[in-house]
Amino acid sequence: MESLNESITNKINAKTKEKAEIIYDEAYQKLCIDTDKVFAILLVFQWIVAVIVAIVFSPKTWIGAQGMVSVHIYASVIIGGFLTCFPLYLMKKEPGAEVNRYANVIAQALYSVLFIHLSGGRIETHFHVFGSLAFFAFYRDAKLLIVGSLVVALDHFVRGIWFPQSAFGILTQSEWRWMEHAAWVIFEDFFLVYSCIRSQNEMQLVALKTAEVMMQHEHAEEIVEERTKKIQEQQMQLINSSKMSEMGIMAAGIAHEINNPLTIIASSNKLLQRVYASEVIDHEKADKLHDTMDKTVKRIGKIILGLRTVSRDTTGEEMTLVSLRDLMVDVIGLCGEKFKVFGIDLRINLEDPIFDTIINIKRVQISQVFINLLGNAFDAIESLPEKWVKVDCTNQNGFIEFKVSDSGPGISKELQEKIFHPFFTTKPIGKGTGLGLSLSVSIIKDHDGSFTIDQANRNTCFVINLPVIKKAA
Amino acid sequence: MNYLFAVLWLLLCAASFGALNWYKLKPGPVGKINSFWPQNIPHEHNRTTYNLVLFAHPRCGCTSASLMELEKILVKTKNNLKVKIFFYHPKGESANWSDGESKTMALKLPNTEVYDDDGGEVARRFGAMTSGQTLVYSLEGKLVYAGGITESRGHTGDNTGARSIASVVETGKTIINTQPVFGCVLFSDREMKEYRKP
Repeated sequence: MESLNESITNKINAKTKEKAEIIYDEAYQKLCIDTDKVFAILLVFQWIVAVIVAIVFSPKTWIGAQGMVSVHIYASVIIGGFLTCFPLYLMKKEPGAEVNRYANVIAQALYSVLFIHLSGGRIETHFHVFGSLAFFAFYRDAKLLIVGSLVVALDHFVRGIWFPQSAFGILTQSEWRWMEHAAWVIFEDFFLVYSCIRSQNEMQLVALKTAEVMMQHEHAEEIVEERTKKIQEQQMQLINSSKMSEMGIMAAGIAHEINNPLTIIASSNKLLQRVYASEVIDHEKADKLHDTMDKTVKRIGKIILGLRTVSRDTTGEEMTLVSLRDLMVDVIGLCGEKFKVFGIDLRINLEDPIFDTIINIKRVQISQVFINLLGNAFDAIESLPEKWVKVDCTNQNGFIEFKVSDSGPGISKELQEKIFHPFFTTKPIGKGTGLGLSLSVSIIKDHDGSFTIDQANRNTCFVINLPVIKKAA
Repeated sequence: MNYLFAVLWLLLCAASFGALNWYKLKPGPVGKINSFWPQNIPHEHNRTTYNLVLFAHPRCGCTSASLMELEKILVKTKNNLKVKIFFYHPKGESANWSDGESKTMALKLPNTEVYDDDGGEVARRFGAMTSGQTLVYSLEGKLVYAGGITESRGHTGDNTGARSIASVVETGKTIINTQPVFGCVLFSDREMKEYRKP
């Protein structure tokens, strides 16, 4: 029984053979079209030469003192025209067709006959036959050589029997003399047929080798495609796992975000209990406390909503149109409180009309980029005496340029080269994954944008460029 | 469809070559040829060797083929053949009308005398009408060969006429051998009418 491997190998071999046949056919077709062109030139050239030969050697036929245009001139023009125009017509009608080859070969063989006529049977003209045989071999097809030789042999035979002198000036008594001439043709054919068969075999071998290389190339491409897909999947998994890791880091911040409102609710609740416990209920105060509790609960709701948005699986996330303002509100909603608590001045002017601009982005992924950047800035300046983080936004030739800078002293050149590498981090063990910036760069590139460091800025400043879609109405 | 056209084209080519062959194998006219060297001409036959007389049209493309064949005959027969070539010269035309490549070629042949035949008078006496007409006379002035020395119009190569002449000269046989002549007609229609007058 045939093993699985053998079955696959056989399938590949059959496919390679099929491909090799296609390559061979294409190469042979091209060879035939090119050779047809050679014949086209040759036939036209011979037609011109035939007319010149007729004009030079026998321009006129005479009756006494009266000269008339020679029959050779008519023959060169008319027969030469037949021998040239029909093959040219076929070549133009259907380039590379099989019939063209046969027409070219027969026309060329008949040109030998015409030249023998026009030259008055000069023995030297017979070299034309042998030269023509070499031209037939251009097609690398033994069949064509045989057809061409048959035309020559047939011409010899017919003339040898009925018009011996008109062909070769041969001895009239010998009806078999044509065979001697045919034998010389066969002698040359022997080498040319051998050469044709060899050339065909070589062409087939080249086609087979080319097919093998192509199949290997195709196979390699399939492997690369498959691996690229795997890498992309792994990258997406990394993004998600990184996000989950960042989520862990963010949890501490979120605790702050929610803890404060919860404290407000708890203290408001206590105050409310007191208000309701008193004999005279102060309704105005109670309403105020209710209002405070309501607002605080809504704020917690917003924080949780933002958290859900950011923690969503971003694999296969679709591009959506988002205004810069909505994007930034999402981001600040998630980390703004942490900045406040730690006394970090987060400078962003959401009233600026630039924030009306709409961009086409994967909203969650871009939010993650900014959360990551602001988180990094937070970690960097948390312990500095001067603490501020600034987000600037400008329109730069069809791109929105975000500059996220902080009061930090900037990043050394050595670090600048490394910080975008995956798993590189300057944070203490357990605090950073080292994937935040590299993933952010990958996300921004995926949006046809750029992510760089502003080296001219004396503080730490990251620059993100994203393409603009339109401004909000 | 293309193959059908190809077959028609082949038939057309075959017909064209057939017509060309027919033309080249169509013999020229021959007049009444005397069995002996004519008496009433200013040229005497040589009595020590065979005599070959060739009538040629100086401007006919076929003449060069006849001259080439004659050269081969002269080589074969060595010094046993004296040749007289008469180039047709129409009456009233300039003296150099018959000069040209053919005449130059003829003048180079050994044992050969070349003449201009004014109005084709000599040709008429011998009974020649077609360029390439060759007559061979024995030492006694008896006709032993009459015909052409090419096998078709303007075609060089081995031929029956040339081999017959060589054989006659070599063996001394006196049987008259005749062959067709292929070449241009020596006389115009008007001259031909005069020619045919008794």
